[in-house]
Amino acid sequence: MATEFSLQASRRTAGHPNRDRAQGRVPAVMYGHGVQPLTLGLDAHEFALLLSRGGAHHVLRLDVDGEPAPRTVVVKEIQHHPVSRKPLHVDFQAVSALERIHAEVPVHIEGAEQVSRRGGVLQVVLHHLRVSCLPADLPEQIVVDVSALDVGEFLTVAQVAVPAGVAVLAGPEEVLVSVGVPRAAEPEATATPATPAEGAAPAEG
Amino acid sequence: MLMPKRVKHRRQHRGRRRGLAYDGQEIAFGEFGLQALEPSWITDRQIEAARVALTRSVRRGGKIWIRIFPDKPVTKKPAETRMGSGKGLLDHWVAVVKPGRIMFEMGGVAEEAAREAMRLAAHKLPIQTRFLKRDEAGEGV
Repeated sequence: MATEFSLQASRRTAGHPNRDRAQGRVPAVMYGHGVQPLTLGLDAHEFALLLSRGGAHHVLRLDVDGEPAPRTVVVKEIQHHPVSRKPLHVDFQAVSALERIHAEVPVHIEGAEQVSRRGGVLQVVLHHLRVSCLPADLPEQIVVDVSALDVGEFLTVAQVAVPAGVAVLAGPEEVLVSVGVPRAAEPEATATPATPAEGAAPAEG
Repeated sequence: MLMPKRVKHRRQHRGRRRGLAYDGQEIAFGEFGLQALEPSWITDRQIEAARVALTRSVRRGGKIWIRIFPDKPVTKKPAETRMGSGKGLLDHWVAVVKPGRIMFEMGGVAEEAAREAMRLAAHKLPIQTRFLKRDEAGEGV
């Protein structure tokens, strides 16, 4: 995958992250193998645009103020505010073109309509796959076709085709997607006691 | 109704509900979630009512996850009792919920069906809530 996303970052001194956030900056850190960690600040709007274009799963070019050359990085982690969902902090991992990296790649399901038409309930067990590959080979997503799955069948990690040069780190026997039997309709009037019965009361000790 | 099988202490202090959800802020199992926007105690009855609303709304199909558990005992003194003489008897169980907590998750259904089911379930809860989709919740990185 070619580097197609770029991001501007400025150096910041550690401390007062909330003051930076109030000024429309997102605190970040960049680290990597043989790389001196850098504390950075990103423009919140620019970073939100990058996320909306799916840049979080790409190799990025990070231009840091005062650095002679842009760094090639991947997004390692984004911390979100639990209520506002705004990014609070970003971790970048500096990568080398010659060193394999570990990354989480989203799983994209195709053919879910055929499964529901057959009366099955699709259950995606793994929404992301952890892979090891060279940065240039990092796939944007792993496409899984479930159109051939019938009720009661499942797909394991070993059955998924991944691009050349990409090794999946999840166990080959791990279930990726399964098609379950639809749940029976809820029976009417589920009268349950309001308070635990005498015998069922939790005992102390 | 959900309740612990056994507890170490039958009566607890009420505690405080400051701050935001520390854990359970991300959609972990399904495609859609119902997120709390206010702090509250959610009783076992409210959880059960919301669960019934969810299952009846989607009827067949889909999968539901309940991400909160009422593990906090609430005591109550009998009516017309003078104060004192120790703490009251166990009345019900509650889950302590803070803003940001994903309380219910759904998967295997269309978004419109999930949205309607969550709307009905939210009416059984004493707090403001929000419907979340997996991609909106910022999961995955």
